[in-house]
Amino acid sequence: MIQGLELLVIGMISVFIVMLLIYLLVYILSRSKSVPVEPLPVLPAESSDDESAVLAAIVAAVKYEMGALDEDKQWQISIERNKGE
Amino acid sequence: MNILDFLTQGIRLLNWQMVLMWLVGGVLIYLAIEKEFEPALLLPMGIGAILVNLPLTGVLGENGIIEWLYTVGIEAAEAFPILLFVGIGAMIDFGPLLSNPLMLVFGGAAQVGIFLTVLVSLGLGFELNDAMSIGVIAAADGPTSILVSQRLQSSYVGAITVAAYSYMAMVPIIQPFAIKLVTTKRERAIKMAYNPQSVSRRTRLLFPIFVTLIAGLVAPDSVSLVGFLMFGNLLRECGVLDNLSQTAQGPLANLITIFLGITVSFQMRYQVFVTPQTLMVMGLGLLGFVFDTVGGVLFAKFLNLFRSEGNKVNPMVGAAGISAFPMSARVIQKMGLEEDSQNHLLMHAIGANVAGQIGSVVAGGVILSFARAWGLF
Repeated sequence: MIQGLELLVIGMISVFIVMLLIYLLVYILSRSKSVPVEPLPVLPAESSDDESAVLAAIVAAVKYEMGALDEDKQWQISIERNKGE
Repeated sequence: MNILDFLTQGIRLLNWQMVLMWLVGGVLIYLAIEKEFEPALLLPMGIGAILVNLPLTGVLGENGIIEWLYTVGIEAAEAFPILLFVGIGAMIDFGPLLSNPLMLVFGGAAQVGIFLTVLVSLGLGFELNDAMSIGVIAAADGPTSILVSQRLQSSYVGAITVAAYSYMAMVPIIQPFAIKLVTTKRERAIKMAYNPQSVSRRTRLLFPIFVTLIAGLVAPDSVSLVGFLMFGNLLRECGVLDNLSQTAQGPLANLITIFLGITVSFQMRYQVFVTPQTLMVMGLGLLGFVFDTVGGVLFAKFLNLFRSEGNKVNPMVGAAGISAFPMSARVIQKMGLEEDSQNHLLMHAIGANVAGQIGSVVAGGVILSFARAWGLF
């Protein structure tokens, strides 16, 4: 029973230390290049005929879907590709 | 030889324990096919339970295929469960966890069920190696249960495996019951805002490598588990080995699952399975799942003591910190919607559930580290 109690206390502490270290790791990795996810813009109904608003919404939606907001290079490549086409 | 003797020797050697094990095998096959409880594992185990419990069976002994598979695939270096982790790692998307890292703490908290079950098992008179093996049922992680119980030379590997996989499949029944024991309707209705951070490719690539290093340094015996899990995940995330990633997720995982199920049935021979202790192991496994769930919920409630109103954690999310993925996350989402049709907890629960997969292998490694320190292997 003593061994069981020792396992319970030290075992749980060990598991928590590992999980907290991983938490710290994720925190540091995310802080090193943190770009908040922009909310998906909602296209206002009254501006449906506004070409630039529609275009902006489509561009933002595509960026959002690509998950590429923090991948500037990837985004740049697709812009270049579009220009080429 | 008398031809009648020759034809009836199998029948003459039959005993009631063998027939009982056929029934156990039949129940596993029934649960797999009719109830779809972990069919990929329970069906091979069910067939295996019948094969190894036939009189004069050809699958056991020096030239028996199941005994050979067991010796090579599990006993020698726990190859099957460890290799299965490559496939599991390749299947896991750590994105929901990386974008909401608070969920990691629940992956640690819910492992308390493992250690409490060890304590209860010791109280019931089990040997230390058996008690530690039984406790790992509460990891809700089949390969880890097999690996730990095998390495600790437990007498109950078969019962532990059956319990681990059966209860994983029964999470939708066990968890709601346990959660309702320790939460109020108001607590279950707590809404949580979901504001994920973006996850860069670099984070996804570095995560498996650093987790392996951390786990390896703190709990070295977890390396075979965590390391292979993270190796599989790196195959998935690296982006240059899609073929290998697909192979690990599909053919590799499927092949190992087939062999693992039928190989584990070696430990379902009536001589080692038909004992009163088997029933106790099954009962303790169930208790372990309840402990896990309650532990995760209570830890979330404890965290809420320090969080402002409007920023509280729904305590049910803590219960998702077990390894049974994605069943546990689904249960939490469903229970959240039952309390309030706008209460979507899925992404939080998935984060905690993925954290539980890491937590369970770390806890398995911690158990092995203790066992090594105590001279159990």
